Amino acid sequence: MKNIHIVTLGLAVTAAGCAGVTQDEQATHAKAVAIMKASFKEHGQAKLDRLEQDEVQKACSRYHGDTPVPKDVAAKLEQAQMAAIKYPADGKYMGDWKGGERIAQTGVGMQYTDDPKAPTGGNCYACHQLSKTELSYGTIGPSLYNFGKLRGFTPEMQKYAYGKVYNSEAFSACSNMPRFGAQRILTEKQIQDVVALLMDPESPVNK
Amino acid sequence: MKGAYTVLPKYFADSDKVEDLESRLVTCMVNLQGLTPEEAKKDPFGGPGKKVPMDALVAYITSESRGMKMNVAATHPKEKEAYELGREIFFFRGGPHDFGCVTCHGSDNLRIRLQDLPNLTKTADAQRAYGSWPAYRVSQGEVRSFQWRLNDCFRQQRFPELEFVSPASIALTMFLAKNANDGVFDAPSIKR
Repeated sequence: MKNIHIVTLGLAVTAAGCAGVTQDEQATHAKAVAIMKASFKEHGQAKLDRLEQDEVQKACSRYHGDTPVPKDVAAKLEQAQMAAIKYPADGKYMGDWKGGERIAQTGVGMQYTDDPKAPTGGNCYACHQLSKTELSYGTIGPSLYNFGKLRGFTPEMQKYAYGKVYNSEAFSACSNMPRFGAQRILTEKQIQDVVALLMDPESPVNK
Repeated sequence: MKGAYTVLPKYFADSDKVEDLESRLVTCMVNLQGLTPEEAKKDPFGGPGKKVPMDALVAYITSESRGMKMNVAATHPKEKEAYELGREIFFFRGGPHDFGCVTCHGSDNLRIRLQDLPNLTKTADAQRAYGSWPAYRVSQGEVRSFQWRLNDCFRQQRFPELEFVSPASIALTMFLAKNANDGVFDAPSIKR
Protein backbone atom coordinates (compact mmCIF):
# COMPACT_ATOMS: atom_id res chain seq x y z
CA MET A 1 0.00 0.00 0.00
CA LYS A 2 2.85 2.35 0.86
CA ASN A 3 4.38 1.75 -2.55
CA ILE A 4 1.12 2.60 -4.29
CA HIS A 5 1.03 5.95 -2.49
CA ILE A 6 4.53 6.77 -3.63
CA VAL A 7 3.65 5.95 -7.24
CA THR A 8 0.53 8.13 -7.04
CA LEU A 9 2.57 11.02 -5.68
CA GLY A 10 5.06 10.60 -8.51
CA LEU A 11 2.25 10.81 -11.08
CA ALA A 12 0.84 13.93 -9.42
CA VAL A 13 4.19 15.68 -9.66
CA THR A 14 4.52 14.75 -13.34
CA ALA A 15 0.99 15.97 -14.03
CA ALA A 16 1.57 19.26 -12.26
CA GLY A 17 4.69 19.78 -14.35
CA CYS A 18 2.64 19.61 -17.54
CA ALA A 19 0.76 22.90 -17.83
CA GLY A 20 -2.98 22.68 -18.37
CA VAL A 21 -3.22 18.90 -18.17
CA THR A 22 -5.24 17.74 -15.17
CA GLN A 23 -4.46 14.58 -13.29
CA ASP A 24 -7.72 13.01 -14.45
CA GLU A 25 -6.89 13.70 -18.09
CA GLN A 26 -3.42 12.30 -17.63
CA ALA A 27 -4.79 9.13 -16.02
CA THR A 28 -7.40 8.62 -18.76
CA HIS A 29 -4.76 9.14 -21.44
CA ALA A 30 -2.38 6.66 -19.80
CA LYS A 31 -5.14 4.08 -19.50
CA ALA A 32 -6.24 4.60 -23.12
CA VAL A 33 -2.67 4.11 -24.32
CA ALA A 34 -2.39 0.95 -22.20
CA ILE A 35 -5.57 -0.61 -23.59
CA MET A 36 -4.55 0.34 -27.13
CA LYS A 37 -1.24 -1.46 -26.67
CA ALA A 38 -3.17 -4.52 -25.51
CA SER A 39 -5.69 -4.28 -28.37
CA PHE A 40 -3.49 -4.08 -31.46
CA LYS A 41 -1.22 -6.75 -32.91
CA GLU A 42 1.62 -6.28 -35.33
CA HIS A 43 0.76 -7.19 -38.88
CA GLY A 44 3.30 -7.14 -41.70
CA GLN A 45 5.16 -3.85 -41.76
CA ALA A 46 2.82 -2.25 -39.17
CA LYS A 47 4.56 -2.96 -35.87
CA LEU A 48 3.37 -1.94 -32.42
CA ASP A 49 5.92 0.89 -32.30
CA ARG A 50 3.48 2.82 -34.48
CA LEU A 51 1.48 3.38 -31.29
CA GLU A 52 4.40 5.26 -29.70
CA GLN A 53 3.56 8.94 -30.05
CA ASP A 54 6.16 11.65 -30.64
CA GLU A 55 5.79 15.19 -29.24
CA VAL A 56 3.66 16.38 -32.17
CA GLN A 57 1.30 13.42 -31.99
CA LYS A 58 0.95 13.71 -28.23
CA ALA A 59 0.16 17.42 -28.29
CA CYS A 60 -2.14 17.17 -31.29
CA SER A 61 -4.15 14.33 -29.73
CA ARG A 62 -4.95 16.66 -26.86
CA TYR A 63 -5.80 19.80 -28.85
CA HIS A 64 -8.62 19.54 -31.36
CA GLY A 65 -12.03 20.99 -32.17
CA ASP A 66 -13.09 23.33 -29.38
CA THR A 67 -9.65 23.30 -27.74
CA PRO A 68 -7.26 24.45 -30.47
CA VAL A 69 -3.53 24.19 -29.81
CA PRO A 70 -2.39 27.25 -27.73
CA LYS A 71 -0.13 29.70 -29.57
CA ASP A 72 2.94 29.11 -27.38
CA VAL A 73 2.64 25.30 -27.69
CA ALA A 74 2.19 25.62 -31.46
CA ALA A 75 5.22 27.90 -31.81
CA LYS A 76 7.42 25.46 -29.89
CA LEU A 77 6.30 22.47 -31.96
CA GLU A 78 6.74 24.34 -35.23
CA GLN A 79 10.22 25.52 -34.28
CA ALA A 80 11.41 22.01 -33.43
CA GLN A 81 9.90 20.50 -36.58
CA MET A 82 11.31 23.30 -38.76
CA ALA A 83 14.81 22.72 -37.43
CA ALA A 84 14.63 19.06 -38.51
CA ILE A 85 13.69 19.67 -42.17
CA LYS A 86 16.35 18.34 -44.55
CA TYR A 87 16.37 20.22 -47.83
CA PRO A 88 18.05 18.64 -50.89
CA ALA A 89 21.81 19.13 -50.61
CA ASP A 90 22.11 20.55 -54.13
CA GLY A 91 19.36 23.11 -53.53
CA LYS A 92 17.18 21.62 -56.28
CA TYR A 93 13.53 21.57 -55.14
CA MET A 94 11.78 20.64 -58.37
CA GLY A 95 11.66 17.31 -60.19
CA ASP A 96 9.25 16.02 -62.80
CA TRP A 97 5.59 17.05 -62.49
CA LYS A 98 4.46 13.87 -64.31
CA GLY A 99 6.02 11.78 -61.56
CA GLY A 100 4.39 14.13 -59.05
CA GLU A 101 0.97 13.55 -60.62
CA ARG A 102 1.40 9.77 -60.25
CA ILE A 103 2.40 10.19 -56.59
CA ALA A 104 -0.59 12.49 -56.01
CA GLN A 105 -2.98 9.92 -57.50
CA THR A 106 -1.92 6.89 -55.48
CA GLY A 107 -2.50 6.27 -51.79
CA VAL A 108 -0.84 2.89 -51.63
CA GLY A 109 1.85 2.34 -49.03
CA MET A 110 2.52 1.67 -45.34
CA GLN A 111 -0.77 -0.10 -44.65
CA TYR A 112 -0.22 -3.62 -43.35
CA THR A 113 -1.81 -4.93 -46.53
CA ASP A 114 0.71 -3.06 -48.74
CA ASP A 115 3.95 -4.45 -50.13
CA PRO A 116 6.69 -2.68 -48.15
CA LYS A 117 9.02 -2.89 -51.16
CA ALA A 118 6.66 -1.11 -53.57
CA PRO A 119 6.90 2.70 -53.93
CA THR A 120 4.64 4.66 -51.60
CA GLY A 121 2.15 7.24 -52.82
CA GLY A 122 1.32 10.66 -51.45
CA ASN A 123 -2.45 10.43 -52.05
CA CYS A 124 -2.65 14.23 -52.41
CA TYR A 125 -5.98 14.02 -54.28
CA ALA A 126 -7.58 12.28 -51.30
CA CYS A 127 -7.59 15.66 -49.53
CA HIS A 128 -6.76 18.38 -52.11
CA GLN A 129 -7.97 19.66 -55.43
CA LEU A 130 -4.91 19.91 -57.71
CA SER A 131 -5.48 19.83 -61.48
CA LYS A 132 -8.75 20.91 -63.10
CA THR A 133 -9.07 17.58 -64.91
CA GLU A 134 -9.19 15.35 -61.83
CA LEU A 135 -12.72 15.71 -60.48
CA SER A 136 -12.38 13.07 -57.76
CA TYR A 137 -10.63 15.09 -55.08
CA GLY A 138 -11.19 15.49 -51.34
CA THR A 139 -11.74 18.59 -49.24
CA ILE A 140 -9.88 17.85 -45.99
CA GLY A 141 -7.13 20.20 -47.21
CA PRO A 142 -7.45 23.43 -49.22
CA SER A 143 -7.59 23.53 -53.03
CA LEU A 144 -4.10 23.69 -54.54
CA TYR A 145 -5.31 24.47 -58.05
CA ASN A 146 -3.05 27.14 -59.62
CA PHE A 147 -0.66 26.81 -56.66
CA GLY A 148 2.39 28.25 -58.42
CA LYS A 149 0.48 30.60 -60.70
CA LEU A 150 -1.14 32.35 -57.73
CA ARG A 151 1.99 32.52 -55.57
CA GLY A 152 4.62 33.18 -58.22
CA PHE A 153 7.10 30.74 -59.78
CA THR A 154 9.95 31.78 -57.49
CA PRO A 155 12.76 29.72 -55.91
CA GLU A 156 11.52 30.87 -52.47
CA MET A 157 8.07 29.43 -53.17
CA GLN A 158 9.65 26.18 -54.41
CA LYS A 159 11.55 25.92 -51.16
CA TYR A 160 8.40 26.65 -49.16
CA ALA A 161 6.48 23.93 -51.04
CA TYR A 162 9.31 21.44 -50.46
CA GLY A 163 9.35 22.21 -46.73
CA LYS A 164 5.58 22.04 -46.42
CA VAL A 165 5.37 18.60 -48.07
CA TYR A 166 8.43 17.44 -46.10
CA ASN A 167 6.97 18.53 -42.76
CA SER A 168 3.60 20.30 -42.62
CA GLU A 169 3.80 20.51 -38.81
CA ALA A 170 6.72 22.95 -39.13
CA PHE A 171 4.38 25.51 -40.70
CA SER A 172 1.05 24.77 -39.05
CA ALA A 173 1.13 22.79 -35.80
CA CYS A 174 -1.48 20.02 -35.60
CA SER A 175 -2.23 20.22 -39.30
CA ASN A 176 -4.02 17.09 -40.57
CA MET A 177 -1.39 16.67 -43.30
CA PRO A 178 1.19 13.88 -42.93
CA ARG A 179 4.88 14.78 -42.62
CA PHE A 180 5.88 13.09 -45.86
CA GLY A 181 9.63 13.68 -45.60
CA ALA A 182 10.15 13.70 -41.84
CA GLN A 183 8.23 10.42 -41.45
CA ARG A 184 9.93 8.86 -44.50
CA ILE A 185 6.70 8.32 -46.40
CA LEU A 186 8.12 9.87 -49.58
CA THR A 187 11.75 10.03 -50.73
CA GLU A 188 13.60 13.26 -51.56
CA LYS A 189 13.10 12.59 -55.29
CA GLN A 190 9.39 11.94 -54.82
CA ILE A 191 8.95 15.21 -52.90
CA GLN A 192 10.82 17.06 -55.67
CA ASP A 193 8.35 15.56 -58.15
CA VAL A 194 5.38 16.67 -56.00
CA VAL A 195 6.89 20.18 -55.77
CA ALA A 196 7.10 20.21 -59.57
CA LEU A 197 3.43 19.24 -59.77
CA LEU A 198 2.67 22.33 -57.66
CA MET A 199 5.27 24.73 -59.07
CA ASP A 200 6.13 23.84 -62.69
CA PRO A 201 4.40 26.30 -65.05
CA GLU A 202 3.80 23.32 -67.37
CA SER A 203 2.05 21.25 -64.67
CA PRO A 204 -1.74 20.81 -65.06
CA VAL A 205 -2.03 22.38 -61.58
CA ASN A 206 -1.02 25.70 -63.15
CA LYS A 207 -3.05 25.42 -66.35
CA MET B 1 -33.85 -9.81 -29.39
CA LYS B 2 -36.06 -6.83 -30.27
CA GLY B 3 -34.08 -3.64 -29.71
CA ALA B 4 -31.12 -5.48 -28.15
CA TYR B 5 -28.60 -3.76 -30.42
CA THR B 6 -29.85 -0.26 -29.52
CA VAL B 7 -28.59 -0.56 -25.92
CA LEU B 8 -25.15 -1.92 -26.80
CA PRO B 9 -22.39 -1.66 -25.76
CA LYS B 10 -23.35 -2.18 -22.12
CA TYR B 11 -22.03 -3.64 -18.88
CA PHE B 12 -22.78 -7.33 -18.22
CA ALA B 13 -22.52 -8.52 -14.63
CA ASP B 14 -21.72 -12.15 -15.57
CA SER B 15 -18.57 -11.22 -17.48
CA ASP B 16 -17.97 -8.05 -15.43
CA LYS B 17 -17.19 -6.29 -18.71
CA VAL B 18 -18.62 -3.73 -21.09
CA GLU B 19 -19.46 -5.66 -24.25
CA ASP B 20 -20.60 -4.78 -27.76
CA LEU B 21 -22.66 -7.21 -29.83
CA GLU B 22 -19.74 -9.19 -31.22
CA SER B 23 -17.92 -9.56 -27.90
CA ARG B 24 -21.20 -10.58 -26.23
CA LEU B 25 -21.68 -13.28 -28.86
CA VAL B 26 -18.15 -14.53 -28.15
CA THR B 27 -18.91 -14.57 -24.40
CA CYS B 28 -22.07 -16.61 -24.99
CA MET B 29 -20.34 -19.01 -27.37
CA VAL B 30 -17.73 -19.66 -24.70
CA ASN B 31 -19.94 -19.77 -21.59
CA LEU B 32 -23.06 -21.40 -23.02
CA GLN B 33 -21.92 -23.34 -26.06
CA GLY B 34 -18.58 -24.52 -24.75
CA LEU B 35 -16.33 -23.09 -27.45
CA THR B 36 -12.85 -21.93 -26.50
CA PRO B 37 -12.26 -18.16 -26.88
CA GLU B 38 -9.91 -18.95 -29.79
CA GLU B 39 -12.61 -20.97 -31.56
CA ALA B 40 -15.24 -18.30 -30.96
CA LYS B 41 -12.98 -15.57 -32.40
CA LYS B 42 -11.43 -17.66 -35.19
CA ASP B 43 -13.39 -16.20 -38.14
CA PRO B 44 -14.42 -12.67 -37.21
CA PHE B 45 -15.02 -11.45 -40.77
CA GLY B 46 -16.08 -13.07 -44.03
CA GLY B 47 -14.13 -12.76 -47.26
CA PRO B 48 -14.32 -13.80 -50.89
CA GLY B 49 -15.88 -17.26 -51.00
CA LYS B 50 -15.99 -17.50 -47.21
CA LYS B 51 -19.18 -16.87 -45.25
CA VAL B 52 -18.82 -16.83 -41.47
CA PRO B 53 -21.46 -17.35 -38.75
CA MET B 54 -20.39 -14.14 -36.95
CA ASP B 55 -21.44 -11.94 -39.91
CA ALA B 56 -24.75 -13.81 -40.22
CA LEU B 57 -25.54 -13.49 -36.52
CA VAL B 58 -24.67 -9.79 -36.54
CA ALA B 59 -26.87 -9.17 -39.59
CA TYR B 60 -29.82 -11.05 -38.08
CA ILE B 61 -29.61 -9.61 -34.57
CA THR B 62 -29.11 -6.00 -35.69
CA SER B 63 -32.05 -6.30 -38.11
CA GLU B 64 -34.26 -6.88 -35.05
CA SER B 65 -33.49 -3.28 -33.97
CA ARG B 66 -34.30 -1.59 -37.25
CA GLY B 67 -36.46 1.50 -36.85
CA MET B 68 -35.79 1.81 -33.12
CA LYS B 69 -33.89 4.64 -31.42
CA MET B 70 -30.35 4.17 -30.16
CA ASN B 71 -30.46 4.13 -26.37
CA VAL B 72 -27.02 3.45 -24.89
CA ALA B 73 -27.13 4.10 -21.14
CA ALA B 74 -23.46 4.64 -20.26
CA THR B 75 -24.37 5.06 -16.60
CA HIS B 76 -22.46 2.17 -14.95
CA PRO B 77 -18.95 3.26 -13.88
CA LYS B 78 -17.38 0.78 -16.31
CA GLU B 79 -19.60 2.07 -19.12
CA LYS B 80 -18.62 5.65 -18.30
CA GLU B 81 -14.98 4.65 -18.29
CA ALA B 82 -15.31 2.88 -21.65
CA TYR B 83 -16.86 6.04 -23.10
CA GLU B 84 -14.01 8.23 -21.81
CA LEU B 85 -11.39 5.80 -23.11
CA GLY B 86 -13.17 5.56 -26.45
CA ARG B 87 -13.11 9.33 -26.70
CA GLU B 88 -9.38 9.34 -26.00
CA ILE B 89 -8.79 6.69 -28.70
CA PHE B 90 -10.88 8.68 -31.18
CA PHE B 91 -8.55 11.67 -30.80
CA PHE B 92 -5.32 9.60 -30.62
CA ARG B 93 -3.01 10.55 -33.49
CA GLY B 94 -0.14 8.24 -34.34
CA GLY B 95 1.60 6.07 -36.90
CA PRO B 96 3.74 7.23 -39.82
CA HIS B 97 0.95 9.48 -41.16
CA ASP B 98 -0.05 11.09 -37.80
CA PHE B 99 -3.61 9.95 -38.46
CA GLY B 100 -6.37 9.45 -35.91
CA CYS B 101 -10.12 8.86 -36.29
CA VAL B 102 -10.43 12.64 -35.83
CA THR B 103 -8.38 13.37 -38.99
CA CYS B 104 -11.29 12.38 -41.22
CA HIS B 105 -14.21 12.45 -38.78
CA GLY B 106 -13.68 15.57 -36.65
CA SER B 107 -14.99 18.37 -38.89
CA ASP B 108 -18.16 19.11 -40.83
CA ASN B 109 -18.77 18.57 -44.54
CA LEU B 110 -15.47 16.97 -45.53
CA ARG B 111 -14.81 14.54 -48.35
CA ILE B 112 -12.03 12.05 -49.03
CA ARG B 113 -11.90 11.92 -52.82
CA LEU B 114 -15.67 11.96 -53.51
CA GLN B 115 -16.69 10.10 -50.35
CA ASP B 116 -18.56 12.22 -47.79
CA LEU B 117 -17.16 11.91 -44.26
CA PRO B 118 -19.44 12.11 -41.22
CA ASN B 119 -18.30 14.30 -38.31
CA LEU B 120 -18.58 11.70 -35.57
CA THR B 121 -18.26 14.29 -32.80
CA LYS B 122 -21.58 15.86 -33.86
CA THR B 123 -24.91 14.28 -32.96
CA ALA B 124 -26.70 14.35 -36.34
CA ASP B 125 -23.76 12.90 -38.28
CA ALA B 126 -22.97 10.33 -35.57
CA GLN B 127 -26.62 9.17 -35.57
CA ARG B 128 -26.72 8.79 -39.34
CA ALA B 129 -23.35 7.03 -39.54
CA TYR B 130 -23.63 4.67 -36.58
CA GLY B 131 -27.21 3.81 -37.50
CA SER B 132 -26.09 2.62 -40.94
CA TRP B 133 -23.79 -0.23 -39.74
CA PRO B 134 -23.62 -3.17 -40.27
CA ALA B 135 -23.85 -2.79 -44.02
CA TYR B 136 -23.74 -4.86 -47.17
CA ARG B 137 -20.76 -3.47 -49.09
CA VAL B 138 -21.51 -3.81 -52.79
CA SER B 139 -17.84 -3.33 -53.69
CA GLN B 140 -16.88 -6.26 -51.45
CA GLY B 141 -19.96 -8.49 -51.76
CA GLU B 142 -20.04 -8.88 -47.98
CA VAL B 143 -22.04 -7.84 -44.95
CA ARG B 144 -19.62 -5.88 -42.80
CA SER B 145 -20.01 -5.54 -39.03
CA PHE B 146 -19.07 -2.53 -36.91
CA GLN B 147 -16.04 -4.45 -35.62
CA TRP B 148 -14.95 -4.81 -39.25
CA ARG B 149 -15.52 -1.10 -39.87
CA LEU B 150 -13.17 -0.13 -37.03
CA ASN B 151 -10.59 -2.77 -38.00
CA ASP B 152 -10.41 -1.43 -41.56
CA CYS B 153 -10.32 2.24 -40.51
CA PHE B 154 -7.20 1.56 -38.44
CA ARG B 155 -5.63 -0.33 -41.36
CA GLN B 156 -6.09 2.79 -43.49
CA GLN B 157 -4.72 4.92 -40.64
CA ARG B 158 -1.51 2.82 -41.01
CA PHE B 159 -1.88 1.50 -37.48
CA PRO B 160 -1.11 -2.12 -36.55
CA GLU B 161 -4.13 -4.45 -36.68
CA LEU B 162 -6.98 -3.81 -34.26
CA GLU B 163 -7.83 -7.15 -32.68
CA PHE B 164 -11.38 -8.47 -32.91
CA VAL B 165 -13.48 -7.63 -29.79
CA SER B 166 -10.43 -6.05 -28.11
CA PRO B 167 -10.94 -3.57 -25.23
CA ALA B 168 -10.00 -0.61 -27.46
CA SER B 169 -12.52 -1.66 -30.12
CA ILE B 170 -15.30 -1.88 -27.53
CA ALA B 171 -14.38 1.44 -25.89
CA LEU B 172 -14.37 3.21 -29.25
CA THR B 173 -17.71 1.60 -30.14
CA MET B 174 -19.10 2.87 -26.83
CA PHE B 175 -17.99 6.43 -27.66
CA LEU B 176 -19.54 6.31 -31.14
CA ALA B 177 -22.74 4.46 -30.14
CA LYS B 178 -23.53 6.82 -27.28
CA ASN B 179 -22.91 9.83 -29.53
CA ALA B 180 -25.60 8.35 -31.78
CA ASN B 181 -28.22 8.13 -29.00
CA ASP B 182 -31.79 9.08 -30.02
CA GLY B 183 -30.93 8.49 -33.66
CA VAL B 184 -32.99 5.90 -35.50
CA PHE B 185 -31.10 2.66 -36.10
CA ASP B 186 -31.53 1.84 -39.78
CA ALA B 187 -29.32 -1.15 -40.54
CA PRO B 188 -28.24 -3.52 -41.96
CA SER B 189 -27.94 -1.04 -44.80
CA ILE B 190 -26.38 -1.07 -48.24
CA LYS B 191 -23.22 0.85 -49.11
CA ARG B 192 -21.04 1.21 -52.20
